[in-house]
Amino acid sequence: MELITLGLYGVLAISLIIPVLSIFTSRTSKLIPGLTWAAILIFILVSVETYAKAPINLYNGLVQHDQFTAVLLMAISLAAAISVLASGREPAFWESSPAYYSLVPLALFGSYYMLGAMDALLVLATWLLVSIISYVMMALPSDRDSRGAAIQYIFLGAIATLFLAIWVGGDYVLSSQAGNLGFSFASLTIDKFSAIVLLSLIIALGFKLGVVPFHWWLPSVYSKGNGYMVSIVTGMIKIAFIGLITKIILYSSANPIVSTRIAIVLAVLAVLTMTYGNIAALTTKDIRKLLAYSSIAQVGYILVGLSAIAYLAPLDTPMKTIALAAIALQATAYGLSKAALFPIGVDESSIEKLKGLLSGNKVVSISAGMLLLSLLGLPPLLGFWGKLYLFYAASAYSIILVAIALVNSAISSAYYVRAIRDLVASEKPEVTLKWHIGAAIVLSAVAILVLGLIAPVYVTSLS
Amino acid sequence: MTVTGLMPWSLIWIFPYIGAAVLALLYLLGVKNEKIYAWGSVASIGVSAILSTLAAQQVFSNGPIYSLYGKVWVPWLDITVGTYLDGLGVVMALVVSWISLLIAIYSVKYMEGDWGAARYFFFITFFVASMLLLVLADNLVLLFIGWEGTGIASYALIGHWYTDEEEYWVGVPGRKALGQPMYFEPSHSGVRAILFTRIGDIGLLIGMAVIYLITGTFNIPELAATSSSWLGYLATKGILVPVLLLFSLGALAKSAQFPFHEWLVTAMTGPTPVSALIHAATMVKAGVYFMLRFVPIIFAGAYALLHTDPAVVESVKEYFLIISGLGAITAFMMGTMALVSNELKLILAYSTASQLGYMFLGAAAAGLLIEAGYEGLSLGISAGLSHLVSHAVFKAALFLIAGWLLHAAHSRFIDPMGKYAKVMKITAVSMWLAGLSLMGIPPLSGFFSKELVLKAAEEAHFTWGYTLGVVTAAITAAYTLRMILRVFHLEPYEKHEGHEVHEAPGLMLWPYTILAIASLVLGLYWTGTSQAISKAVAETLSIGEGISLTVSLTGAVLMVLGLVAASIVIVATLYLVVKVDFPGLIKRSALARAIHDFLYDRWYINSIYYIVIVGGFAALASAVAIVDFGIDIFYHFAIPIVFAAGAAALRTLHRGRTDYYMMLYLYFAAIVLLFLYLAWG
Repeated sequence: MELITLGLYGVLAISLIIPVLSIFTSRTSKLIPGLTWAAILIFILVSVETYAKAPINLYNGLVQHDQFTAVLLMAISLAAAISVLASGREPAFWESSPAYYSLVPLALFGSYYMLGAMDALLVLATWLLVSIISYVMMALPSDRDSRGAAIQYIFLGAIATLFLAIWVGGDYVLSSQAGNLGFSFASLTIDKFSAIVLLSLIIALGFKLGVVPFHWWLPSVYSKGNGYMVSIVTGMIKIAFIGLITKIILYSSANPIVSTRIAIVLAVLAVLTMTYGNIAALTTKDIRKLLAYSSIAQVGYILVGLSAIAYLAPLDTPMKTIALAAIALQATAYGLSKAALFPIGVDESSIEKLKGLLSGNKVVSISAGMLLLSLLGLPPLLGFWGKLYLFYAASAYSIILVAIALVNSAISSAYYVRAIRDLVASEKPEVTLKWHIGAAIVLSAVAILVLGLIAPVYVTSLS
Repeated sequence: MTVTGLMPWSLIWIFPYIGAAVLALLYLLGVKNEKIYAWGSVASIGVSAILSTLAAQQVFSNGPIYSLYGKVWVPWLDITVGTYLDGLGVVMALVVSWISLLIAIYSVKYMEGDWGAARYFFFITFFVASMLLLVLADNLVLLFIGWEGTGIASYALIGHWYTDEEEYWVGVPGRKALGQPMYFEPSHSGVRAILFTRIGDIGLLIGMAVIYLITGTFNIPELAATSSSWLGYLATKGILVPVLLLFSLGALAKSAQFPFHEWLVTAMTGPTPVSALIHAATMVKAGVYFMLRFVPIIFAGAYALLHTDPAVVESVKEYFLIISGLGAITAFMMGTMALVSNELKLILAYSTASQLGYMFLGAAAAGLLIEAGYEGLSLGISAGLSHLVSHAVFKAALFLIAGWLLHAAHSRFIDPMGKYAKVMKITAVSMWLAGLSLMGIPPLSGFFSKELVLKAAEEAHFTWGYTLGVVTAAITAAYTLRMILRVFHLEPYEKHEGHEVHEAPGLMLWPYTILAIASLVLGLYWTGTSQAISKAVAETLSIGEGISLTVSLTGAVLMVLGLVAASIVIVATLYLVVKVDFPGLIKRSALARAIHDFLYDRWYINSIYYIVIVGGFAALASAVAIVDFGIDIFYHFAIPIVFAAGAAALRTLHRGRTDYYMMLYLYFAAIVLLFLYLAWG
C-alpha cells in the first residue's frame, strides 16, 4: 500500500513541481517532458501494483480498487503514454507551456481516486478535478478554435456537473434514510425520488461519455479542439469516466428492484447512441468528425455492456464477470486507438487533403489500418474481443439489443474501411505525417495486437 | 435360400464395377491402347453374363437366393447391402448381361479409332454394372444407387461426342416447330436426358422417403411382406394414389412414358451401340423392371384388404388405371411419330417408347383385376416380362444393324439408303427377322409377348387401353415395314455417289445376327421360353405353379393379326405397287403436310415443353432479373441516398454554437427526466 500511495504522491509532486521548474529551464529542455514521462512510468507501476494487490482498500475504504478498475488504470497510463508520445515536443512551444506537462500527471493522479471512489462526495471532488483539467487542456493551444471548443466544453460541463450535484445530494438523502454511508443505491426504491437521483447521474455521466441525447458538445469539441488535446480527453480521461459509470451502475443495480429499470434505460440509450454515431459518421469527409461520431458509436457499444451489467448485477452469475471484463477490453481498445488516431487530424482534417497521408510509410499505414479495424471489431485485434464479449454478455439480457448492435457494427464498416482506403491511397498528400504521430500509431497498434492476443486468455482465466 | 455374405452371387454386379474401376485406373496411368479398354469391358461384362446364367440355374432349381452382407451398412436407417435373386431378378440379369455383352463385342469394332474410346468403354461397363445392381438390389437405397448410376452413365454416353459436330445431331438442322428448334446436339441431348429423368427421380425419392417413414424399412422383401399395412395407412390419410404415383414417377420417366418421353427420342446423339444398350438392355428397362417388381407388391397389399378395406382396393385400381393408361397412350402416340420419321435411329427410338408403353400397359393392367386374384396378376406380369425380353432381343438387333447402316450410308437419314439387300444379305435377313418380331408376326417372339400384353388388357376389361394397343400393333407393322422396304429394297430418295456399301465386318455382323436369330428361336420355342418366364413370375409372386403363357388363335388374336396383315398390305401396296411419291405429296397437299408435320414434329409436344416450361423459366428468370435490378438499385442508390441524407441531417443538428448546445442538452435532459419520472413509479 505504501508503494502505491508513495507512487501516487510522486506523480502529484511531479505535476506540482513542473511549473516551478519551468521558470528555470528553457523550452527546449528535455527535463520537463522527461518528468512527465517519469510520472507516466510511475503511474504504470502503480497500476500494475494495484492489479497485483487487488482488491485494495485505501483511506479507510474511501478508495477501493478491484481487478476491473486496475485493468482500466493500466489502460489509462498506456493511453497517456500514447497521447504524450503523439504530441512530440509541440506543447513545449505553446504560450501555455509547461501546463500540458503538468496537467497530464495531475489527470493521472485524479483518475486513480475517481476510479476508486466509494463515496458520492469523493466522486464529485475527483470529477471536478479531472473535468477542470480536461477543460483547461482543451484551451491550452490558445488558438481560436481551441478556445471556442474549450468554452463550449466548460459551459456544457458545468451543467452536467449540476446534475452530478443533484445525484450527490440525493445520495446523501437516501443514505441517511438507510443509515449508511457511501453509495446509497442499496436503498434505491421505485419511488420517484430515486428515479430523479439515478437519472441525474445518467445525464451527468452521459454528458462525459457522449451518450445521445446528451452528446451535443462532443462532435464540435472533438473536431475543433487540438488533436493532441482531444487525444488526452478521448483517451485517458474517457477511460476513467467509463470505469466510473460502470462501477456506479454495478453498485446501483445490485438492488434487484431497480436493476431491470436501469437496464432498459441504458439499453434504449445504447440503441440511440450506436445508431446516431454510426449513421452520422457514414458520409463525413472530415477525419476528426468521423472519429468523433465513431466515438459516440463506440460508447453506444459500451452502453450495451452496461445494460447487461445492470441486468446481471443482482444475479449470481459468472456472466457478470465477463461483462465487466468486456467493458474493460472495449474501453481499452477504444481509448488506445483514439488516443493515437486523433492527432492525425491535428493540422488538417479534410479527408480529401489527407488522402495518401500514410502511403509513404508501410509500418504506419498498417498500424493505422489495424487501429481502425480494431474499432470495427476485426479479430484478432483487441476491439474484436471487446465487442465479442460485450455482445456475448448482452445476449444474456436481450438478443434484440445484440442484433441491433451487430447491425450497427456492420454499418460502421462502411466508414472505417473508407477511412483506411483514403489514408493509405497512393495519392500524394498535401500534408506530411509528423514522426511522433506515426510513432504513437505504431505503439498503439502493437499494444492493440498484443492485448488482442492476450485478451481471450485473460477472459478465460476470469471465468 | 439366404446366404450370409455377398459372395459369389453379388459378383454379378460387383464384377463390372471392378472392371470399370480398373479401366479408370488404366486411363489415369496413361494407357493408350484402346483394345485393352474394349476387351477389358467385354471380359468384365462376360463374367457377369456367365454368373447370371449360373445363378438362373440355381434359382430355377432351388428357389430365390438372398445373399446378404453380414453387417448393417447404414445403421441409423437400417440399410443393408444384399443381392436378391428371384425369378424376376435372374431373368433381368440374364437379359441385361447377355445383351450388353453382345453390344460390347459389337462396340469393339464400332468404336475403333474413336477419340473417346477409353471413356466410352469405362461408361458402358459402369452402365451395365449399375443396371445389374438395380435389378438385384435387396433394398430401395441400393436400387436407387444403381438407378442413379444408369442416369449418370446415360448422360455421359448420350453426350459422348460432346464436341457437337453436325453429323452426330438428331433432327433436321434448321427445322423448327412452333418457332422452337427440332434439332439437338449431343451435349444438349445428354442434359435433356438427365433433366427429364431427374424429375422422375425426385418423385421416386419422395415416395421412398414416405414409405420409409411409415414402414421403417427400405428392404424390398420386407416392404412386400407388410404392403397391406402401409397401403392401408396411406389410404386412411387419403394420400395413397398421390404417393404411389410419386413412387412410380421415376419409372415413368426412366422408361420414357408420356409425358416424359422426349428425352429418349433425342438420346440418339450417342454412338449407336449406346442407343442399343439404352433401348434394349439398360436404362429404359429399369422403369419396366421397377413396375414388374412393385406392381405385385402393391397388388398383394390391396388383395389382402379386398374384403376388409375396399377403399384401398379402389385407390390401387385408380393408380393402376393411370399407369396402364399412360402406357397405352405412349404406345399409340410414339407409334404414330415413327410413321413419318426419316431418321433411322429415330424410328427405332419411337418404336422403343411405343413398345415400353405396351410393357407398362401389360404390367399395370394386371393390377386392375384385383378381384380375379393372382391369376390375373400373373398374366399381366408375365406379359410385361415377356415383352421386355423379346423386345430386348429384337431391339438390340435392330439398333446394332442401324449402327452399321448409318456407317455405310454416312448419314443418319434413310433418304440416302436403299436397295441395301443386294449388297448386305445377312444384314437384310437379320433386319427382317428382328423387324417381323417387332411387327408381331408369328412365330417370332414379338408376336407372343405382344399378344400376352393385349390379352392382359382385354381380361382386365380395360377397353380403351386395349383398343389403343390393337391400333398400335397395326401402326407398328406399318412403320417397321416402311423402314425395311425403304432401306433394303426401294430406290433411295437421295443418291450419293462415291462410296461403296458392303456387308458389315464380322465383329459387328455376328452380334446382331445372333440376336435376330434369337428372336426367331425364342418364338419358335415359345413353349420353353414361356414356361421359363411363367416359372420365374410364379416364383417371384410365390404362387407355386405358373400360368400357361401359350397364345391360342382366338377371335381377338385373329382380329389383331388381320389388322396387322391389312397394315402390311396397305404399306406394301403404297410403296411397291402404287409407288406413291410421298415427298411430292407432302409438298403438294396442305392436308398431307399438316398431318406429316404434326407427326414429324412429335405432336408439337417438344415445342410446347420449350415454350411453356423452358419459356416459363426464362420468364421467371427475367422477372427475377427485374427484382434483382430493383435490389441492385435499392442497394446502390436508395440505401446510399437515405443514409447520406440521414448522416447529413444528423450532422446539421450540430451548428457549433455553445448556447444552442446548452439548450439542446437541457431540453433533452428535461425530456428524459420527465418521461422516466412519469414512467418510473
